[in-house]
Amino acid sequence: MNELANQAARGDRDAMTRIVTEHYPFVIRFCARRIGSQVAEDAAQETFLVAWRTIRKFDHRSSFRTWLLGIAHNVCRNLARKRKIEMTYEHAWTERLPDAPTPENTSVDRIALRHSLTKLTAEQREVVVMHELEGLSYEETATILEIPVGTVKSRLNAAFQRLRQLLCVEAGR
Amino acid sequence: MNVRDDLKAYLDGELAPEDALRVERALTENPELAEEAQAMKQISQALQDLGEATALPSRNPDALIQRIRRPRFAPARWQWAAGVVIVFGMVALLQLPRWSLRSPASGGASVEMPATSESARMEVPEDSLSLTDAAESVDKSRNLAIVPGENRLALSLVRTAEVQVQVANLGLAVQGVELVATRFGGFISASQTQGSRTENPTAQLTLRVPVRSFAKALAEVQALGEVVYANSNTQDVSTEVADVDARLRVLRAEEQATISILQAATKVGEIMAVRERLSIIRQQIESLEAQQRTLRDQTSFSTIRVSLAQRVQVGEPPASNHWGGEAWSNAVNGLAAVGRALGVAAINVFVYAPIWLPLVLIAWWWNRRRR
Repeated sequence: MNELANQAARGDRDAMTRIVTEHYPFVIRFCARRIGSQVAEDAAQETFLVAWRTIRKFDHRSSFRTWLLGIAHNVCRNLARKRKIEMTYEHAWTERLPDAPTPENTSVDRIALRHSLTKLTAEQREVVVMHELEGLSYEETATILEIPVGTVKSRLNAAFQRLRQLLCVEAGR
Repeated sequence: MNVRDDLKAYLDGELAPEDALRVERALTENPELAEEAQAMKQISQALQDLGEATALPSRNPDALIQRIRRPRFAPARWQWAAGVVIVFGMVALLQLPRWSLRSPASGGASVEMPATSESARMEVPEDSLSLTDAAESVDKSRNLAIVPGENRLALSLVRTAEVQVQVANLGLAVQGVELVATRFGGFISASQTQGSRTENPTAQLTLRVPVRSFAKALAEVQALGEVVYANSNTQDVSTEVADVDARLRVLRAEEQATISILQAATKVGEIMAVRERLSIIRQQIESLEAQQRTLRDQTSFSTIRVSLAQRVQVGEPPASNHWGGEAWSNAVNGLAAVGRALGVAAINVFVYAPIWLPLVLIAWWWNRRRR
């Protein structure tokens, strides 16, 4: 991927095309989880266009994917501000697939989980989505959000403690 | 640090080995903590299932790929700089005629007259500058217009001219105009000088010369410098002159007749009435005589209004025999001129911003959009 990024930085359109093809599904999902699937396409396009413009500045200090998602995160934030969309991350679990399989073996009530997620702070939801749903490491999450790794760790731990408490309360009802 | 704080990081494999060992020990020793860890695992799994069950778009990036593949106009920094210089240069070229005099060799005379009037700045084709020729042609036509014979009518012409001349030295030019007046038996009827040596000094003189010398005097005045504006006018007042003469003759005859009546009158009433009539006749005679004098003056002496303007000499250094001082003065003057030109150009760039700025912004936006 780094070699592809280097080629794109030298103006190779084929390399950039391959980058788009490879990362587009992931980026559009990343954007959709933040600002909804209606606006996600615009955000994803803008993300790749910004990346194409600034790929010369990619310094390989993080992985290319992290760098790209950092751009996507900023693009989503700007787009949300422009279009007056609140970045609550609720799109990550509210837009349910009609034919999505419902795992039988889970012991967690999904409705209760959705409800509990809304009770978290925005910062906690942010790290939960990035780590649990998008599978980003602590370091990647910290790089994208521009916060220390320790903060990611503490926010995530606090979010899970809170979720556990909320789910216990929901189960007791 | 509290083991509970590291529990999630331990489950995610994000702890350092020694910390992970510490949490593992705590989990074996503390069943409540182990239960907590188990709950966290279940929540994590449920969240991942929730994420996978979410309807997220997976659209085709073809449009985006096309935009990336499309050749784009991406000017380098030097190209942007060149663009700015070109815009700057165009504005400067547009303004150039206001800043400096055009070369006389360029086919015409385009000069900014110092604060005379807005219309003073104009282009005069060389072939229309020669008022002398025009005046001479009038002289010829005048000769042709005179009807020979017994009823010969002397053509009465009032000739006026207005000329604006830019000169190198105003004092010498004023002396030159005075010399022209003396040489042709004329005079300077009015004179006004204003401005200092470095602030566009100007002079306005009204030159009166005999009509027969009009063309030659005008030519000599024009030869004093570079003609910026010239205008000549010849007005035929023969009819007016003849009319005034005729009316005067009639009124004088009437005056004589009235005097005769007055001498013959015996009654007071008659005397008063005739005197009143005589007074009116004499007033009319005086008025006509004044008109006759004016016409005579105008037809015997032509009027040339001369406006002289000295060319601007920015900070001309005092005469010096030292080349170093002269070089210094020249350099300072040059720097001042460049500074002024840059200032004027900057102002123009700013003033013309409503024209070029939208174009630059559109180009920038278009370039950004294409990427």
